[in-house]
Amino acid sequence: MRSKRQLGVFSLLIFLGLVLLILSINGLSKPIQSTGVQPSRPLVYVFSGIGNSFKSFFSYFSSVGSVNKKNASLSEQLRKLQQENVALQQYRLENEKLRAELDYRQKTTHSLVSATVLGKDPSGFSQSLVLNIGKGAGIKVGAAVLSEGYLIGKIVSVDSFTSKVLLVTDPQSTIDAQISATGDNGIVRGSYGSGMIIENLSQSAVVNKDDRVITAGLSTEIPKGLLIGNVGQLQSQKSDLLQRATVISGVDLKNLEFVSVIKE
Amino acid sequence: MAKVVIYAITVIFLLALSIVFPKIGTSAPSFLFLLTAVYAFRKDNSDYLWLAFFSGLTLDFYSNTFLGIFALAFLITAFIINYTTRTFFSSDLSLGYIAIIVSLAYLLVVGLVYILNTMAVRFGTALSISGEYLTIKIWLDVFLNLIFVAPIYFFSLSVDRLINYYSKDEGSF
Repeated sequence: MRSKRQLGVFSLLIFLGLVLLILSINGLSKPIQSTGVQPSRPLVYVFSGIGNSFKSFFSYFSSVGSVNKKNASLSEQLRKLQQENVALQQYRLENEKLRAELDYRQKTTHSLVSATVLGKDPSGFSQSLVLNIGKGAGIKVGAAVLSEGYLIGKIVSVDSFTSKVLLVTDPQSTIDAQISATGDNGIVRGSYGSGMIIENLSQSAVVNKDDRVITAGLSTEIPKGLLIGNVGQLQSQKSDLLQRATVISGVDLKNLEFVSVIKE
Repeated sequence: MAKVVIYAITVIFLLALSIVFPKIGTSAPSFLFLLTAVYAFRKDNSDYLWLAFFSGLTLDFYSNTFLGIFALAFLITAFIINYTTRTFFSSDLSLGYIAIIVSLAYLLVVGLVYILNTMAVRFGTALSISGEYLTIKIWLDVFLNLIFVAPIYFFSLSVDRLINYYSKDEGSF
């Protein structure tokens, strides 16, 4: 009896899952996805905030393990100050990131929209971010996403209030790029371990360490001249037909909080 | 009602934990998968199926895959765990058995996600998951899952205690 009921529920949920999958394949699942994300968004934001606070709290306390326990009143005072300090450190970091973002915004000619990173891909199967802006802010699929002037990814899906960014370090990400100093064209591809590789550079191309890698602007969505990173290590041999090298981004892609999306 | 609310908060809490939990490279324990596996071990009723489906669906909402892929993968895996446990291991479960099943089940989830996504990519317009990337990533994931399966097991016991507590309250009204 019980197993019959379980089989019934199982079949129903399989059916439901397949319907969702078919809707998603046909691009009809946006309203469901949007409706699903909205109720959980405040709770995820709160829990993530608590999680981040705990991380800061414990990392701070581990560095001040030798606080004098004999003086209870001083310890109490110290603890309060530490808590205030942690909060202030958070504000300072946030402030620095916002300043860096603002600094770039004042220099650039692109029309940018600011966004807060709501979360990372929790499955770890791809490297992507969820942003707190969507169609309402004029965001479109394919738009370039920047942080402190560096290209960090492009928008891969948009709903009413959120959008998803595929990071440049994801193995599925490919961007037309060129070496700024020489104008040699290549392709920047994500690779395992949060890195990037520029490949398909001709053997005659002159590639040096720390050369700037910028977007080539061959696709319509990503404009030319956006900074992707700097050349790290050359990976190809002289006998290879094409050259390849690692590319190092100037921003920490694992700790992004604020980003800008190019609107046009 | 209390049960649904507590399960929903639990799933969202573990989703947030997955988001903020520090990653080693790109590997991290899959808390929602562990919750699904633990409930599939423990539950006799169909609760574990609903929980597996909605845990997967929550992951789908925040992941860069087709909607329903994680939901289906979690659901099928939970059903297999529950079926094999009830059919072949009705007596006391050993730690070794749980470790083996959790590891195999995770590989099954990864396989199902990869297959379903590859099939879906053929018909829709989305990016496929890199198989090469997965093969590097999953082994560390399996190891991290084994470390966290016990904490999630005790966490699930606390969740059930909370449900029992509030269910009694609901009954008394």
